[in-house]
Amino acid sequence: MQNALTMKILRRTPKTPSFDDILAEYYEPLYRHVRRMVVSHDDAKDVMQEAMLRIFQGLDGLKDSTAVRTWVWRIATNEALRHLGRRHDAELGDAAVPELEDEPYVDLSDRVAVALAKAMDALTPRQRQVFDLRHYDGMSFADISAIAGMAEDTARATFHQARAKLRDILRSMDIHP
Amino acid sequence: MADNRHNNTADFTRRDIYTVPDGFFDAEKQRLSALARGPWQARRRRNRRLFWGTATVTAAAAAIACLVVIRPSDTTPHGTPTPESTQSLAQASSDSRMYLDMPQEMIDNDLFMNTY
Repeated sequence: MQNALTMKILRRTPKTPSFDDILAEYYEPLYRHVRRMVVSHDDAKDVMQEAMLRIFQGLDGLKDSTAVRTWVWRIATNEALRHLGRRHDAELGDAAVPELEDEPYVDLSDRVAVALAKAMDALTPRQRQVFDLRHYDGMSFADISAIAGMAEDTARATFHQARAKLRDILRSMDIHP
Repeated sequence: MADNRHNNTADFTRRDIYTVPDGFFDAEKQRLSALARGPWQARRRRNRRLFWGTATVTAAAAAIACLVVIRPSDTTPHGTPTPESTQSLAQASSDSRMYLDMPQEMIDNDLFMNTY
């Protein structure tokens, strides 16, 4: 009787995934998101290391194992935002910001895709985050609101602002999306 | 995920221009897995043990200090009259009152009081 009950509870309670499971499932999509946010491969690698170690540290205390997906995305995207904040401070101090063309591991063959990547540089970090989660990662606004820590309506509005800004920039480059 | 035309970005390309070196993802996953379980993790465990050890000793010392400073049986501060003592004083004779009002030094030096 007790064994049956235990089995029932175990079946109902989702197991917290191991760190290796998280690495296997989320590292690549998180890296791609972070990379689009920070552009540089080396920076994305550093940001991902910070994010993954934070995930490792927080895994024991994770209460709701059903929310692993939004939790890991939130940590990675916040780490990317922190990096952009530091870069912004450095820019104010006249530090050089690398051009897309100077970056290694960038495929410059698609003119429209390159133009969109460049246009995204004009977005605020928040707009960039929301647009990227929606456009490239195909997330729902409910998920974006949970990941970005904002109301769903705010996420929706931020996305519309980002899209309008990108459209204007691309038109100015004579690219009509 | 019900979207209307305003909530999608189908008109923008989804092609990702960013690439990575060959074998990057596998190598990085292995490196981070090892890093999380390696010396960094051992140092974290040691720091955690040190933190809890220090916290336990501090808590025990604080508890002992509390017991020494605030004794549970000694709740009435010195010099604060209780209702019983106030009543006894009111009933005391004039001689007793005079004695109680005497400075301690005078009592100590009183030859007759200290003879027996």
